[in-house]
Amino acid sequence: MDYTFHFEVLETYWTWLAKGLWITVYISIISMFLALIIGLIISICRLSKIKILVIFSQSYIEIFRGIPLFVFIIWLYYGLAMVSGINFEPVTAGIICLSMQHGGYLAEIYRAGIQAVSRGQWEASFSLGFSIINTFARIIFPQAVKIIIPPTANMFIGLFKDSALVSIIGVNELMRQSQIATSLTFRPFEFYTVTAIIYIVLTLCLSQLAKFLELKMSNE
Amino acid sequence: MERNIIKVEKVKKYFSELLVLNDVSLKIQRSNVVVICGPSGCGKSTLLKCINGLEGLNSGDIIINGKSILDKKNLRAIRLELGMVFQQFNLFPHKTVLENIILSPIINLGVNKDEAIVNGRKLLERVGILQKENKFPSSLSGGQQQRVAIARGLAMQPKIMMFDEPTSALDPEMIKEVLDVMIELAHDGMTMIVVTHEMGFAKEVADKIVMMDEGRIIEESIPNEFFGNPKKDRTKHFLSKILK
Repeated sequence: MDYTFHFEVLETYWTWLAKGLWITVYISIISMFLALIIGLIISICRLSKIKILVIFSQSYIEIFRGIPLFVFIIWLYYGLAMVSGINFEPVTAGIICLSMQHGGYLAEIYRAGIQAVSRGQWEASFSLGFSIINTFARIIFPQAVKIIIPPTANMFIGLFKDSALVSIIGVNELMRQSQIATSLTFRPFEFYTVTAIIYIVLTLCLSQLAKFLELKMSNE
Repeated sequence: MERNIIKVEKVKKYFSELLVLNDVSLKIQRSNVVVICGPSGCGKSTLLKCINGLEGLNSGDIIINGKSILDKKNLRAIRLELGMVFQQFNLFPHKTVLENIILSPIINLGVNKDEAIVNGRKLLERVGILQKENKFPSSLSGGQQQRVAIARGLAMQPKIMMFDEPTSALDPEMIKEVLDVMIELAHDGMTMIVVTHEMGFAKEVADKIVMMDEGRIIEESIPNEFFGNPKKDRTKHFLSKILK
């Protein structure tokens, strides 16, 4: 292999990557936050005894888990705009797609966590006179959180990497910034190598954070 | 004042196709201790769960202190009058022993926190476990956990305490410490419904023993009669198995 690396192109373009990284982090954090809320709502619907809510949540999970994120982003940004005239900003469209899909994944994680808390906990709480809301908020959910955290952290790592897909609708996040820099410099290998390393480093940080939380939880 | 604090009237309960309570009627007087026994699957635990509304009824009615369980509006008030102790203790594992006891009085009775703590400590002392107040349930033995569970129930100042096989999950040497607490409670005049196979306990404190089989109450009598002269063959057979 007689390829010569020219990492000096980064001297000119590192600010581009930095700007992209900022957008990637921004999109990821907001999407994670929204996904947490969507996941909680959907999982509560899924576990409720109200049939319409159960059907709604099941459909939600099946649809958004089944649609490839790539297809979803294009469908929402281009398709929906054509038929309905609803035009989202690319960043907004990206956040909607990421949070809706991962909210669906999270709903299943939450459901499993909540169901893992024994039935006896519900019964004990009800028999002490707690309402269903207090039972959930004070007794069940705090116990479920311990079970939920590790898979949730894994899912966040997935979301963070998936955020690269929103480059297809022109969001200037890390991946798209390296594409642009590449097209200007004809140095794809350098830029994509650096981009890959950035993703790996941030993913490592997230998984360390997850480990820390898990450890902290199990110590309590 | 009505003598019967609990009236179970012709209750039927199905789990899908399976009839688990078949026309069960039972009256319990204030300050009485009623022991319910019978083979597993006879419906005794289900009966307790029906009494505090953890399970709904298919027909019949249960009236607690004048309030019908069928009226959803009564449900919470009924539960506040009924303490329940479970076979598996069901303490809240993320709360300390003291927190387990004070949480419900604070939230559900509006007791202020200091008062709840003072009260909680008294109860822990009464069940002999005050030194563990800041421990988490997982670090306690089964017998200790069950005594905390009893204290947690008592903290709500219930009119009736229900026990669902409270000693069945315990090692033999821990059974006595739990039974002692229950016996003391009975002597203090608490109305109690106890599902148990501890016949020594039944002999000592029960005012009435109820024998269930296949979802029906087949015999109901005072301890002397129940043990000395059981009416039904099924009861004789059952007693011969558990009294060895």
